[in-house]
This record gives sequence, C-alpha cells and structure tokens, in this order.
Amino acid sequence: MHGNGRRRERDCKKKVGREKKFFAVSKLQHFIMFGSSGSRVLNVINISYLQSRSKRVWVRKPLGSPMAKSKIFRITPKPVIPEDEKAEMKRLFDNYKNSMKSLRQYFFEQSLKQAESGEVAQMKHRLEDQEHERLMEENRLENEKTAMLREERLKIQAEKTQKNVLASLIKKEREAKQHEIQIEDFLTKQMSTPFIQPENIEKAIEDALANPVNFNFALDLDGYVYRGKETSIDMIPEEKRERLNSN
Amino acid sequence: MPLYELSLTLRTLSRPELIASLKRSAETILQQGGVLRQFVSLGTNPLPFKMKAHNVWHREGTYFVMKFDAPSSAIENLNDEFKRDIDLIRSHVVRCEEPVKHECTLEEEMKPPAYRKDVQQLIEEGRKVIRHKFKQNTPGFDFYPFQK
Repeated sequence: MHGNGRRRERDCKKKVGREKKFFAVSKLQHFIMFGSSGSRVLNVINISYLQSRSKRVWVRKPLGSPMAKSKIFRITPKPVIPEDEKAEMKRLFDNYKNSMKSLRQYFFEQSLKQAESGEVAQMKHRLEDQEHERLMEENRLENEKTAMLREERLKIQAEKTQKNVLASLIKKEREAKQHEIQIEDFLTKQMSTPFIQPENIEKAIEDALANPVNFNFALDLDGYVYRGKETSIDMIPEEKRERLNSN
Repeated sequence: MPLYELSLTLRTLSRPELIASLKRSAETILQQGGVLRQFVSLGTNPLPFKMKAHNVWHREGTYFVMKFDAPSSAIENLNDEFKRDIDLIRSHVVRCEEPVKHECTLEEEMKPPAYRKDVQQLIEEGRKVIRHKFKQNTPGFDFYPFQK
C-alpha cells in the first residue's frame, strides 16, 4: 500500500508539469492563429499586451485588422472653414513661401560669391587654367600626329585604289576582246553551216526526198551495228559491216 | 535565233503534190522570219496507229524533218499555220539543244567495290579518327601555366 501511495504522488506531480506545459503551448497557438478563423476575440486582441491582470492596458488593434462593423458606413464630416479665413491663410502661406524662397536664393548667391572670391578659389582657378592649357597643347600634338598618320594612310589607300581601277580596266578590256572573239567564232560557225536559200527550196526538197534516211539502228554483243531494218549479219555484205570498238 | 526542228507527218500524196506541200510549209517558216538549215526525209512509212486529221483517217504517212532558225515568238504562229494545213497529219516543233557530253565510266563502275576509286576514298576517310582536342587558350605557352 505504502509503495502504491508514493507512486500516486509521483503521478500527480507529473500531471501538474504536463498542465503547465500545455498552457504555454496553447498561448503560442493563439498567437499564431491570427490569420486563420480561430476565435474572433483572439483575432482582434493581441495577447502579448495582456500579461498583467491588475492594470488595464490600452489594447491596440493589430495591423491589417478590418474596420469595426459599426463604423463601416460612418462618414467623418469635413472641417468647415469660412471663405475669408481661407483667403487670409492662403495669403499668409504665400508670403511665407515667397520670403523663404528669396532668402534661400540670397544665401545661395552669397555662398557662391564667397567661393569665387576666396584665395583658395583663386588658386583653384589658376590651377584649372594651367591644366586646361596643358590639355589643349596635348590635344594639338595628338591632332598633328593623327593628321600625319591619316595622310599616310590615305596616300596608301589612293595608290591601292588606283592599282585596282587599272587592273579592273585591263580586265574589262580583255573580257571585251574575248567577247568579240566569241562573237566572231559564233558567226563563223553559223556561216559554215549551210542554209537553204529561198530560191533553192524546191531543189533541196527533191534532194531530201531522193535520199530518205532511217535513224533506227541496233547493236549486238560483238559491237556490230544494224542500220534500219537489217536483222541479220549475214544479210550485210562484209565490206559494209560497221563495228563499234570499245577502247 | 535558236535552232528548231520541225517534224512533219504528211498524208500520202503524189510526188509533185508532196513537193508543193513541203514548199508551202517551208515558205511559211520564211514568212515568219526564219532561216532554213536542213531538210531530211524519213520516207513513207505506216503510222504507228491510225490517225485522224481533218476528218479523214490515215494509216500511212510521209515523214519529213526541217531544221531552221527562227525567233521564238514565231513558233506559235507556225504551229497555228501547220494545224490548218490539210496535207499535214501531225506537226511538232522542238528546240535543238547541244547534246550533253558524257564520259563513259562503265569500266570503272564494273569493278568490284574494293577496287573502285571512290570507294577507296570513302574507306580512307572512314579510317581517319577525329578526336576533339581540348584548347587550353594559353597563347604563347606550349605548357599549361597553372597548377594541374
């Protein structure tokens, strides 16, 4: 029995510990549950401000929470300002703005003048002038150098183009000559092939009819040629036989 | 003016009629600005099939060829003229082109593949091993300058 009682006590202690832990976990859970649809109150109230129970603390709505339902259709009245007061305020404002602007401009100009007239500024100006002169001189020298180079380059280029033009001219001349030769060749070729004069037509027709031609021919394996309607080598006399030679 | 070849198939005619008909077609060529080059007769032969021309059936025809130079614009007119000539069964104008020159390579082609030159070239090409060599991009050095 005694032993049992001790065990019970231990169990009780364990339970207490568990409860405490559970409380902590639930707190955390509430904190996380803002976005989701948990309990409505917890959605609005930030629990982190509710630590002390004795004092009442101003509780702020969390960022992003919606407008209260009762205030959705409330329209705040515009402040009513009388016309003359408005005009007066505008005048005062304009005066203020103008005077501030002119003051700012004045101070700016003063500061510029000071910067110009000081000894350091003079020194700076002198140095700048000297630097400018030096740079101009350098630029002049560079320009002269590039001009010289350009002249040389252009000279070489001109020579080259002259050479090219000469070459192309010679080529063109040669081609023209060749073309002429070709034309002459063509003409001689044309003249060499006979053509029938209009007055010789009848004679040419008679000649052609007198010598009919047959372009058909056949070959056998020995290379013998059979013209027209010849079918047998025996029918052709030996001196008239034709034979193709394979090289 | 390109060279053309006109092949005519005429119906069987007596000799003077045939000459007159051929002369007529030759003259039409001349009228269209042509120049006659050559006349070739292929004789009177049976047609390959019976042909109808100008409402008459023909089984035999005289074949005749004329070679002539003419402007290409004249060919249409010539065809039109010949179509209306009742002595002609068929007519056709072809442009003569220079024959294509071929070199006979039969002997080379008849060899077995291993002896053919083009096959040998292919084999040689196939034997070449092309390996991609990595470029080190180190100009001026013939060794790798960094730690390996």
